[in-house]
Amino acid sequence: MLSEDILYFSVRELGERIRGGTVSPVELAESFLARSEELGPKLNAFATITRDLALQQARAAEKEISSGHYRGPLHGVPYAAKDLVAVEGYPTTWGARPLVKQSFNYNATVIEKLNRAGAVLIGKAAMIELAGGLGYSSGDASLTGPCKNPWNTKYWTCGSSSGSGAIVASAMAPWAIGSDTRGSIICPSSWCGISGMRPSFGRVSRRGAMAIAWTMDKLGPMARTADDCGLVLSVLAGHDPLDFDSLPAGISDFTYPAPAREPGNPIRVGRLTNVWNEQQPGLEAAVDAALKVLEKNGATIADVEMPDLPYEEAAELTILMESASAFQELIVSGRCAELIDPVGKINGYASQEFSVGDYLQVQRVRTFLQAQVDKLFERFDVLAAAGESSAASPLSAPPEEDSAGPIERRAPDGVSSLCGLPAISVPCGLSKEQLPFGVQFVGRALDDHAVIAAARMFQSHTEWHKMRPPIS
Amino acid sequence: MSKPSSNNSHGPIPVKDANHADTKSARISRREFGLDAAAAATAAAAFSLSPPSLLTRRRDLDNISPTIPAGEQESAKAKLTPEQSRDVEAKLANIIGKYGERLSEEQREHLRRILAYNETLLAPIRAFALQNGDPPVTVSKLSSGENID
Repeated sequence: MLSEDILYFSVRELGERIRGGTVSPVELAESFLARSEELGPKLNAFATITRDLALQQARAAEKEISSGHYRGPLHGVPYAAKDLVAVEGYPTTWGARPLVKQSFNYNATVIEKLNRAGAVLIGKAAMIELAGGLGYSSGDASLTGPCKNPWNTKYWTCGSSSGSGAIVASAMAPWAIGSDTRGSIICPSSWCGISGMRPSFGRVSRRGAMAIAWTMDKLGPMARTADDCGLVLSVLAGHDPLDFDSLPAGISDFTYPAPAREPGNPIRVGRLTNVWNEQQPGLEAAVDAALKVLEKNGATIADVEMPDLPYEEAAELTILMESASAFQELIVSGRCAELIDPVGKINGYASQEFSVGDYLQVQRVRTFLQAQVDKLFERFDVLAAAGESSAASPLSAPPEEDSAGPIERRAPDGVSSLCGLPAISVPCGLSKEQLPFGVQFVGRALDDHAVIAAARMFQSHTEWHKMRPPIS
Repeated sequence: MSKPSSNNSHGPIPVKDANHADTKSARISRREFGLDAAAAATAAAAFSLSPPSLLTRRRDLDNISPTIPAGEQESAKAKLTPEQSRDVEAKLANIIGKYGERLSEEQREHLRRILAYNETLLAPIRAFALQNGDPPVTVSKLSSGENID
C-alpha cells in the first residue's frame, strides 16, 4: 500500500507521477480503495464503493500508459462521484430511501468524459436525500446516515455534497464530483477544508445527473487545490446537446491553464462587506488575512456591498418551484413520505401551491438581479467573502427549525447560484475548535478563470490547503 | 427548461421597455426607479412580514427547511397581512383536499408554517416593480433536433 503522504498528493502531483512511472495506477487505486473501505463507513462518506470497476479501469490505465498511450492528467487518477450522477451498472440512489434500488442503463455525460480521460472511479459519494431538493433540516437526512467531518467526527460536513467533502478531506480520493444548486459545493468545501468549485451555469453537462432546479443546477470539482479544480474542469467542461441548458461549443469549453495575466493588470478583488448577518468569531479575521496575502502579491482590494435586493428569496423560490416539478412523481404518489427528513416528507405539497404567475414573476425579477450583480464586475474581477458564515456545526445541533434567525438575503451562495456565477472556496484558517474556515471567490458569469486565478494566487503563498484532518 | 441570460457575461442586461421608445437616460431613470421601489417594498416586507423569529436561519443548504419554531406560530401568523393569511389557509385547504388522508395533524400545522414562510419569500418578489416588457430569464430555445435523446 502507498503511504498516506502520497494519498494526500494533489491530482496534478499524482498525474505527473503516474505519467513518469513512479506511481502505479493499480497500486494507487488499491490504496485509495483500502482507505475508503476502512474510513468510509466511519464517516458515512460513501453510498457505494465501486471496487471492481476501479480496478478494471486502473489496470486498463496502467496497460495503456506503459504502452505509451497517455490520455492526459486524469489518466489513472482515482475520483469519487456524488450519488446523483448516473453510473451504468451501479445504484444511483440520489441519497433517498424511496430510490434505494434505482439504477440507470447509461452513464452521465461527465462519467463518459472521465472514462475517455482514463480516470478511475472508486465510488459513489454519500449525499443529502435528493440533494435537499424537497427540503431538509439536518445532516441526518441521508440514506447513508449523517456524514461526519474528518476534522472532528462529532461535526457535520455540510450538504448536500457531504460525502464528496469528507472523501477528499480524508484522502479517500484526490477529488470528487459535487453538485451545487445553492451552495452544495461551496459549503462542504469550506467546512471540510478543501478546494471546491462551482463552475458557471451551463459549462458542465448535467445530463444523467438528478435535477432539482433546472435553471440553477451545476456540477463541479471538489479537490485539494484550486489548480486541481481547473485541471478537472478542463475535462468536465464542454457543450452537450443532451443538456438543454448546456452553453454552446466554444463558450462552454474550458482551457486550462489560462493565458498569463499581463504585467500591470492585477487581480481586482472586491471584499464583500454586507453578505452575512453574523459571522463566527475569528472568521472575518481569517478572510481579511487571506485578502492581505493577495494584496501583498499584487492584487488590489476594495470594499464593496452586495445590492440589497431579494436574491435569497428569488433563489429559494426558484428551487422550491422547480423542484416541485422535478420531484412531482414522488410528491403525487406519496412516496415522499419515505424520505427521512420531516420537512422533505411534506414540503413538496406546499411547493405545488405556487402559481405560474409567481414563478414567472420570480424569473422576471431574476433578470434585474442578474444585471445588478453583474455591474459589480465592471470594477472587480472577483468578489470575496467567507465561504460560509461559520465553521462546521455539530451533528448534535438542533434541527434548523429550532434555530430561527434572520434570512441571509445577500448570502454569496444565494446570489451567485441564482445568477449562474462561478465560485470557489478554499481553506484559509482554523477555528478555535480546529475546524476549517474557507474564503470564497465569486466571478463574473463565464469568467471561471478569474476565481481559479485568485484562489491559486492565495494557495501559492500559503499552506492552508496542505492541512490534514486528524483522522487516519 | 430555461437558463439565465448569457447576456450578463459581458455586461449588464439591457433594459427592455414596453414601448422600446425611451431614451437612454429615461431607461436608466425608470430602471433605477423600479429598483428603488423594489428595495423600499423589500424593506417594508422585511419589517412587516419577516422579523427574525419568522425566518429560518439560512446557512448551508440547497433548500433549507422553511419552518418557523412552533412556539412562534401565532406571532408568525400575526405578522402576515390578512390577504397573506387567507392565501395560506386557502392553500392549506387545497393541500388537505388533495392529500389530507396522508397528513397527520402535526404535519398539517407544519405545512401551515411552511406556507406562511413561503408568503414571506414571495412578498418582496411580488412587490418588485416590473414593466410589461421586462422578460423572465427563462427563454424558449429553438432546437434543430440535436437535443432529442
